[in-house]
Amino acid sequence: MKVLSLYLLNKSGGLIYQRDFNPESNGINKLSSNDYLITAGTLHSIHAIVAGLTPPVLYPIQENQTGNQNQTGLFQVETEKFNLFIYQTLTGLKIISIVQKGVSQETATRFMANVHSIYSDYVMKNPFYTLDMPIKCQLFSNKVLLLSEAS
Amino acid sequence: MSKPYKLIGEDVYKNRTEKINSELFTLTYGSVVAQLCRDYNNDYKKVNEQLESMGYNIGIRLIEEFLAKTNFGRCINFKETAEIISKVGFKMFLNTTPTVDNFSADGKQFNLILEDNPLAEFVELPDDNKAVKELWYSNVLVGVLKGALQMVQLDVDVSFVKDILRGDPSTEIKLRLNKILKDEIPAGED
Repeated sequence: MKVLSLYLLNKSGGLIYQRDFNPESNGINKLSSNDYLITAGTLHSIHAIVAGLTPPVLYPIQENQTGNQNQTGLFQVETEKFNLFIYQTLTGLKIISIVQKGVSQETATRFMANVHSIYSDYVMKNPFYTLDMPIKCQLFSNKVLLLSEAS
Repeated sequence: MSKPYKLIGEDVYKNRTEKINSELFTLTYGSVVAQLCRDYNNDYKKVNEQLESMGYNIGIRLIEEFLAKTNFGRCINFKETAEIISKVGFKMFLNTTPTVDNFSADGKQFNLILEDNPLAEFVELPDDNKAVKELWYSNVLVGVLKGALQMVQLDVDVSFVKDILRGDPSTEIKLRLNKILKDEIPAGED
């Protein structure tokens, strides 16, 4: 699978990590850092609006095996060139990935679950990382890059 | 409620966690507590506070690993939370399974009885007649539980009520659910 871009948002919708993968050939435009912040905030808001629009469920929610707690919010955006998936953890962290067309939802979800796992190791366990602040951890970046190449 | 948490806990512990030498861990914790006692001139109330605050900072970070490794969703009630804390949480990080006891009638309070406390394996409290009354040696656990639960939007009061080190018959932590922080539950869950 080809991941084009990865975004991490803290629980208030602030962008704490953004990265494009092999940018010269991947068919996604580079934006200014301000535009990334706006994109993140907008997706966060739409996600919440969609969740608000969804009527309360009348049936039990299916058990999911991935840890993705995004049940009623904005889940997927499809465009001509790529798909965007949103994954949310119980603590409110959002992991957003932009992937090439044709990548299945399961594959993307698995990728984001793995990102969560790397985040829990290389960001949360870094004693000098301040919660909810932009992630500037080289180890995390390296691991994410490896993961994007492997999946 | 019927989920096999015991099995899940054992599976996560066996297959998905990094292990370290337990003595390194126990001795490290011991030297931290001893150093704090020196730093605060044996003012054990301050030491308790400091241990709790250190635990809190661990808890708010550790919860993320717990969620990433177990893939659990939100608990339906506090009983389920209790089961998960004891059978999966403690198992995964400390390889011990405390007993859940004394559930209150309103379902908002319970005690965790630690039959086996890896933090305190070699410990005897100083015999200055004060430590046995004031120091909660493993108070870091209180902070960890509080911090971790707060990150999943549960405001819980946690405190030690008994400790074998103080001569009590068992080691017990009391958890009381104050409220569920509904406003902070992330949108889109259900």
